[in-house]
Amino acid sequence: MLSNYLKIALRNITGNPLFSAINIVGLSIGLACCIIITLFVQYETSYDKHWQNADRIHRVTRDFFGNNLRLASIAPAIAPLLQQDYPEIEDITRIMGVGSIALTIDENTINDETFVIADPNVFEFFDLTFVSGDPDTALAAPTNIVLSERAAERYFGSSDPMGQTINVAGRADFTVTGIFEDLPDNTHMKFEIVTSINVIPMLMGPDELESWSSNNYYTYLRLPESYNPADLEAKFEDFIIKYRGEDAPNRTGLNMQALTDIHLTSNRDQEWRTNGSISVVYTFSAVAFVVLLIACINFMNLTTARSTQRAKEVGIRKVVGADRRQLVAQFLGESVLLTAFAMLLAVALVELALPSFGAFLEKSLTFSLADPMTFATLLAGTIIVGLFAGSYPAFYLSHFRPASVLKGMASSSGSIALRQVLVVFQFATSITLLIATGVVMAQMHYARTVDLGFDKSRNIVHSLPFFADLWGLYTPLKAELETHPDIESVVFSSRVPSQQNLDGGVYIQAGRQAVMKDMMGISDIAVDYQWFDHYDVEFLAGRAFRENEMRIEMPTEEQPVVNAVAILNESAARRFGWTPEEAIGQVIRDFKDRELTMSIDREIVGVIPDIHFSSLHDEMKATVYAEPNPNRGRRISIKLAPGDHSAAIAFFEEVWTRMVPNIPVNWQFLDDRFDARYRAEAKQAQMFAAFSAFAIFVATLGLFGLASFTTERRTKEIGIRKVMGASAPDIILLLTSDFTKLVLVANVIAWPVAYYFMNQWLMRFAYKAPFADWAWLFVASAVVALAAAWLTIALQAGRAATARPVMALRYE
Amino acid sequence: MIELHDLSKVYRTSDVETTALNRINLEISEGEFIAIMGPSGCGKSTLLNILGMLDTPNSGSYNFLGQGVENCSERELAIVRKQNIGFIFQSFNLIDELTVAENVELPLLYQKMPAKDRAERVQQVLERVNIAHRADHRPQQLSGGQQQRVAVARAVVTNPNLILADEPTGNLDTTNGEEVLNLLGQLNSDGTTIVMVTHDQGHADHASRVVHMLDGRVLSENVVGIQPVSEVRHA
Repeated sequence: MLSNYLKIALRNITGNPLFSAINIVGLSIGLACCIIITLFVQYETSYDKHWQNADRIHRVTRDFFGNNLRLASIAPAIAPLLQQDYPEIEDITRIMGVGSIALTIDENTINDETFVIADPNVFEFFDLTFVSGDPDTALAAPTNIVLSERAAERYFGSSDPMGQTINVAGRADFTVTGIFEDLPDNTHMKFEIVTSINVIPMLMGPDELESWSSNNYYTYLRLPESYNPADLEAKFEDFIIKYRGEDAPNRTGLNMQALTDIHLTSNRDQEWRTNGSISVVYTFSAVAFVVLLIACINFMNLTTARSTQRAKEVGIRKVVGADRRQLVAQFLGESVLLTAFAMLLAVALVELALPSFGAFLEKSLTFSLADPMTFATLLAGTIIVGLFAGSYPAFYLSHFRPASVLKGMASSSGSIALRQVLVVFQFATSITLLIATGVVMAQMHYARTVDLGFDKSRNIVHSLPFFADLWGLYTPLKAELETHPDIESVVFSSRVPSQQNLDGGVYIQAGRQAVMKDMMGISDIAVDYQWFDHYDVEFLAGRAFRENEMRIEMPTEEQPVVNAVAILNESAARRFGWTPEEAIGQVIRDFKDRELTMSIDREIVGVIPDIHFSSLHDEMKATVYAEPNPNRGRRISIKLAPGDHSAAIAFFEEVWTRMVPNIPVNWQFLDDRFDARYRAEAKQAQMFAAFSAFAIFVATLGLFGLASFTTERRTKEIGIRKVMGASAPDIILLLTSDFTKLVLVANVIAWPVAYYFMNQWLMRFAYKAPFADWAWLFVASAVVALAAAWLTIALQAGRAATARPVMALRYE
Repeated sequence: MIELHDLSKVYRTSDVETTALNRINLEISEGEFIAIMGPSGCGKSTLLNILGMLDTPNSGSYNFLGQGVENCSERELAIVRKQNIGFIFQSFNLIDELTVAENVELPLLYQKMPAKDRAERVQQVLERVNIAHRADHRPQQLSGGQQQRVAVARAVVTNPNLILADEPTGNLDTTNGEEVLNLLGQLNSDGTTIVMVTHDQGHADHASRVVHMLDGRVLSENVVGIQPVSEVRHA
């Protein structure tokens, strides 16, 4: 019996090439989308699960309530105190990412982005495997350094790095004492070069490790088995009170995140790198499922549409003794077989697409049929999809009464309504995806073109080495660079636009009593006096800084209050309760110690509008602009003249290499940095675009098949109408009007759905493209869907309409 | 073998009601060769479909081999059908995707006969209807007469008690038609009960009894070669 079914199925597949091709191609695209997205989801959900005791490791994070900071990292003083106060903490470790740092090996200096400073127990904590050296003693001395295999290969090639010397940032020589296996890609952390936290006093001053304000240390702790992390978290408020004072919980708090949740659910300030997003995982899972569903609907629609062709077979089988169950089994079997062919094609498509998809997502996705789990999943997928796609046709076809169908009375009218509903569903989902793609792109366009409140064009940015004397390096550098005719101006600032500004201080209006309720946490940025002019920022009131306001003495015990100036943005002025004009001449007190004994009293000399300093994801924060201090102001912006920038850039590189020989040049265009902030969304837009294209293609494929059957079914009617005088356009109109109505209905359904979901999506941006910018997308999507449907149907209808009527009538 | 009492079949659409069979009473004994005659639309095929359990009556009773079948489920009917009844249609109704042998084999598959036995049985039957040389051909590659012989082979391959033939010669020329009738005659001689719908009096003459129908009623029953029983069975 099985071989008979198989035979019939194979002959049906080969005997109806159009039907089979539409189904196999459609299903294979749907399946390929699902496989690829499953690999993506599998990968995304695998982050950090591989660490030993992963389920017991948590990251401590810190919030600042005044300026709405939610940091992924905390201050270095906290970890030892936590461990001292809470014996349930089995172990704790700190890692500080340094960012880009210059490493010199054998006189070659290279900027490295993977350098971290960590507690010596970091290897044991994460159970990193050493290929050389001893993890217990590798970081025993402050100037020891440990490399990953990849870093060892990068810097030392085939020679043995153990015992070799690496100079870090021109400050100290470090000795390689260990090599560990590379971290897997699916971890939220990223480090390849590790040195001991005990080197911090030497590099950053004796007080750094006691600091409560240098929130740059990712801190992980391990709890005992079956210990509820919420129990520890509940003690953090008392901890803050104990060490920071009774009112401290109003300003700051500590939290914990499970290690395995970080990648998909944490979106804090100062993450190691941009994490994934659970909503992206859900969205793309849903989209892939929709594409597959559209393909399954094609199968249902086409099978029931051509049911008259199969009706006779059903009748005969019933006459010779088949019962309904057997027929259902036969049709389901056919559907599974067809799905199996589609799966083979899908696997081939996945093999072809995966390398570029993986590269696009920057994830090492792997797919191997040799893996029994993969094979079993694909097999199960084939059966499930085959049974699902075949379910309705199987029950529909098998219900035919032999007496009717053998007389040729089988009609597919019963299924027409359902087919129409399914076509509407296919197009509604396709249109929704189209609109979604459009909205994502519209927001990207908005982000690139919106008036940021300053001019970011023609800027390159570069960091000054953190150990250099700011004025000693900056002043001659600026002077020399500005001699080039293609360099308009050079300024410094503590953060360059495109960066999240995570710095802030505690301010109060001068003259007020320093009570907690009047003190405000406000972001601040150190800028050069020409910065506002450089970035073409207008003033709402007052003026820019003057050169002589840039260097101030810091308050000391002897002189606890010093005077300086500041510029506020409009939000900051508003927080003090002033209009821009009222702010000018007011004085705010910028506290410099926890005891509130030392401060800088700043007279407000100017107020600027709020500017989109960071990306549109972030609210424009109330910000105080002030002069630099020895630790802040180390990023330079170079404004280039319009036209060709190559000479100016070459000049900058030459000057930099001469003046800062130890630090490799590493400039970036500011425009590129802003684009990078939207990279995740840009990728989402591309993925949406691809999936909508697939969805539309598969839906159109189904419509093509459906139209061909409809046209075939109406051949006689077309003939008669033509004899009665209908023209070819009349016939085309007749045949397209039914489907046009369906696509229009699909639009009516898709529009509110798309509007709702895309409004939700836009929530992630503090500043959204206005609805007027993307309202046209609704009409455009309708036009695209209609055009796709018309083209598809008109192709069929045109053929029928231009055939000689006698051919159509002879058909009967 | 077959007893019909007051059997009626009414087709309803939203605004029209058509009585296809109107209180039919009919008995068919084992070994009979019955021809059902009548003009188009008189209910012949409906009667045959109900006899073959392809359709169900609205009222009345139908006993097949002593068992009432009017209330059987579709599954039970399928079982009775595959064990007892063979069908031959005017339009042959062969499955185009299967070869001659595979078409004939089909009823045996549903009877779950072992493959070896099936092959033997198919070969025998194909030889009997003289089409064995075309066993691997597809239906479309055969003439009408050959296709009907395949249909006959398929109908008899399970050795059914009853063969229902709906105008089996309707699409055939005289020679092929005669050939099919002779085949049916042979089967009847071997003991198979045959009920055949036909328009052709000449073909009806092959039967042992002719049932005349008009407007859904049995008008008369003639025993071929014997004085017609001229009575209207139902008022």
